[in-house]
Amino acid sequence: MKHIALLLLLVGVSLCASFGARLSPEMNASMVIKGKAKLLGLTTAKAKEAFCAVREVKIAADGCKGDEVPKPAPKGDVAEAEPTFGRLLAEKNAAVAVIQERGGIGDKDRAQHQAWVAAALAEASPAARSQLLKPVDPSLRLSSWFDLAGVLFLVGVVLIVTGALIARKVVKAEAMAEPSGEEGGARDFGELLIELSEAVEALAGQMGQMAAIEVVTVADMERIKVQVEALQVDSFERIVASRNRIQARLGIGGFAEVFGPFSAAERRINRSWSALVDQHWPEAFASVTKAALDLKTCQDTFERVSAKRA
Amino acid sequence: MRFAVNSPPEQPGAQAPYRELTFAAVSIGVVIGAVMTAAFVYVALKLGFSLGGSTVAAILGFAVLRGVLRKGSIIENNINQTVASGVNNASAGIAFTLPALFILGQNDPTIANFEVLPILLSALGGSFLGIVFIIPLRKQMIELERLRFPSGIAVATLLKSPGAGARQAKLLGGGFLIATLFHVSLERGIIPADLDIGGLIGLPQYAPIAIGVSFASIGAGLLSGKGGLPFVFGGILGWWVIMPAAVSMGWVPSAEELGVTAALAGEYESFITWDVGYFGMLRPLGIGILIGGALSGVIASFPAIRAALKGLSAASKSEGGSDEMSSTVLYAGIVLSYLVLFAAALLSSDEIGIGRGLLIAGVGTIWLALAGLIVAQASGMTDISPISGMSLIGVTLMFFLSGGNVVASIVLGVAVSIGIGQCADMMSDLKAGHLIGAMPKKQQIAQFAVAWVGVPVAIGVLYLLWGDGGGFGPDNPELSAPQGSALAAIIESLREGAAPLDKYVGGGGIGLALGLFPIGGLGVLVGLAMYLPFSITLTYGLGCAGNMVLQKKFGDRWLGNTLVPVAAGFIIGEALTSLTAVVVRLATG
Repeated sequence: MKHIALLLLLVGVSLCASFGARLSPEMNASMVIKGKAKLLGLTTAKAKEAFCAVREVKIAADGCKGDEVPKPAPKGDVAEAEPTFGRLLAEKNAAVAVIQERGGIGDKDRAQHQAWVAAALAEASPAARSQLLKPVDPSLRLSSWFDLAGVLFLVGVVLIVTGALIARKVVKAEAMAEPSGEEGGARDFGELLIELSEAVEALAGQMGQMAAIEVVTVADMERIKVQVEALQVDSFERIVASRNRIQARLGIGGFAEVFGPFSAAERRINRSWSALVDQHWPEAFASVTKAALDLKTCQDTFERVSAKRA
Repeated sequence: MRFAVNSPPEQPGAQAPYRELTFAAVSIGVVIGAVMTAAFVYVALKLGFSLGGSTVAAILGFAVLRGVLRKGSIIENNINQTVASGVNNASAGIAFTLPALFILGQNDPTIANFEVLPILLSALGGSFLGIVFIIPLRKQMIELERLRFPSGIAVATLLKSPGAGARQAKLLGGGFLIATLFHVSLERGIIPADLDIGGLIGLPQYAPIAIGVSFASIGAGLLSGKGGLPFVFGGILGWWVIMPAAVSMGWVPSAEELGVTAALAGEYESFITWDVGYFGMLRPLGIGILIGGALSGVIASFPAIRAALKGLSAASKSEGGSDEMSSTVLYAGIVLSYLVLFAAALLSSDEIGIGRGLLIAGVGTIWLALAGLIVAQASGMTDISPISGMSLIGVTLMFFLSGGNVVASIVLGVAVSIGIGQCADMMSDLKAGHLIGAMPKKQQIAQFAVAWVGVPVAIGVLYLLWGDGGGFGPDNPELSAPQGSALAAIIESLREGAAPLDKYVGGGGIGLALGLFPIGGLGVLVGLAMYLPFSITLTYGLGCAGNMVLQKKFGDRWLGNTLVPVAAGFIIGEALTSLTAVVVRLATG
């Protein structure tokens, strides 16, 4: 069943993402106009570059790399008129005419010059159209896209939702299954919690006894630090790794209630490690003691939540 | 060395309280943070990206607190880096949004006369809101969902290095050296930034196999493990399913339609891949999936968030208090910050009345919360924060709600950008804090106390660099302000009515549906991957695969003792080398 859910997810998300990404006809038309202008612009740029590389006479107005191009005149206070296709095209054709009438062309650069002029001429009209392009209205984009791709998009969504419902059922069933109890198998959270709680309590007791009998040395702190590390890796992390299963059994709210004090205990154990590294015994001892109390709270909460769900 | 542990504090020989929230940690953090803020604003204007400050601050704090003052504790250094990165958050938030106002104002006198007070208020409101929203989310993301926050793990590994033993220090150092070596080689052009394997075997640009040479990405993947696989799946979906399907089904302009000759075949492929495919399809769809996935996550985790809020109230009334800031601070913070944002909206423009101001501030607050959740979740799972995308949505929302008022949109956009940066940063710092045993309340208090410091520094640096006009922008090759210029261009197109609504709605639907799957943050991860170029996703995926293979071979304990310090070294090495390279580049012009 898990594999069916995964298959539905893969097919569903591929379908609705592909059709979701599809552009509406208006956007596609807009892209054609922009694309033409951009690619023809690149052709012009390449042709210009080829001319600049071979030109016999260097003129600043060419605008080749290294030429000092005069700064454009500042815009006046008079508002510019709304551009029209005719005006833009005339401006571009005028710029092409300047290139065309450029003097100083010889045999070595004539072919490149002509290619540049031809490319600039071909670019003029598409560039003007691109400049005048208005964005497609967002609601038109939405309705147009939906008309084109909506049905298959929704089919994909249905597949994802179906797969999700199956997956949730499978996960819940796995979590509610009895723990195997064998070595390497799943262990009940309650059992692990009791073990951990007893281990931390024992550590707190040991630390208390050490402080009561004798002064604590650096070697003592190093020894306790090793025990703390063992708790972190062998006990806390094992419970953290099984949290999804715990959540499925207790529900989200119940899980949050139980894992809160558990995480607080974990943080205090981490704090005790830091304090031991910094050689601050009182803080380390206090942190382990508080962690033991937090784990007791966690146990009590777990029993209450489990009883409520039973 | 022997300790008399039972002596009460007033007797000689008693040990001083364990150092955590100290004047030294906060003041050093503020100084480091302020310097980083000024520097990173400049970097963001020049190069278009900013750098996270946590690892830099942790190392500098180490050197000063433990090296010079000889008294810093692990927890105290954590406060220092929390403060420094909290102050520095303003740099990206300001540098990514505010320059757009300067740039647009050059050609439009109605925009040019904006006041600085609403910007200050907005930035302050956003800073505090970002921290406040994290209060109930901390439990959910760090304790319950156990999001990885690779940078947070890297910082914690660094902070713990004095006690981790020589072996772990060597592993951390080894990872650091490897990442540094590769990044220096990249900077010097000895190796390319991307390995275009697909290009070598003749694959088209729109179905790439490209690996970014980034050990930070590999390190993030190594730390994430199989939890990061949905992120890789999202990248595969975008680049190996959607793009090839779109081209083969004729959903993109054909070469014939564009009049493409053989000489321009490469440029045509580039246009189809980036202009049409990435910017026209994948990126906006990815943003939609991100939002839908996050909304789904909020709905699904509502019982847990409600339990967290109940817990906050109960803990603050219990004996001994709570380990984190109380629900009173949360609610008061939200109300006060909302009022500050309302004031900012009203003051931003004469056209914004009380009703519209209330609306903008309200929606801005809600969006900040949702976007903060998205960014915190995304960086928690992958170490990648889609701050610019979320800020863009914020500005777009404000634009429509303000009736097309550019100044009001950007002013509130500043709040959103800083706020969501604070969310992600605070969460990463709290992750580091959890791993070393810091008290969340003290970290939150520290960040709350200093969040405002970076704001006037960042705004001041921006005004300084702008000078009499034209100090940065698309016409200034020295300081082109790429992010601000891009936002200005987007606002211009918004003014003309452009917005990819179909992609946002479609993506939102996909994200909501994915949120039903019992895999935490599935929608967010898939959306995030589609939002990014594939070279980033694939590199991260290699790290995830590495973790899974090594975990199967060597087990969990080996992973914790060996892989984590190496991966942390990768992240820290690349971060510091990037920073050094930027400094060298700026110094040598």
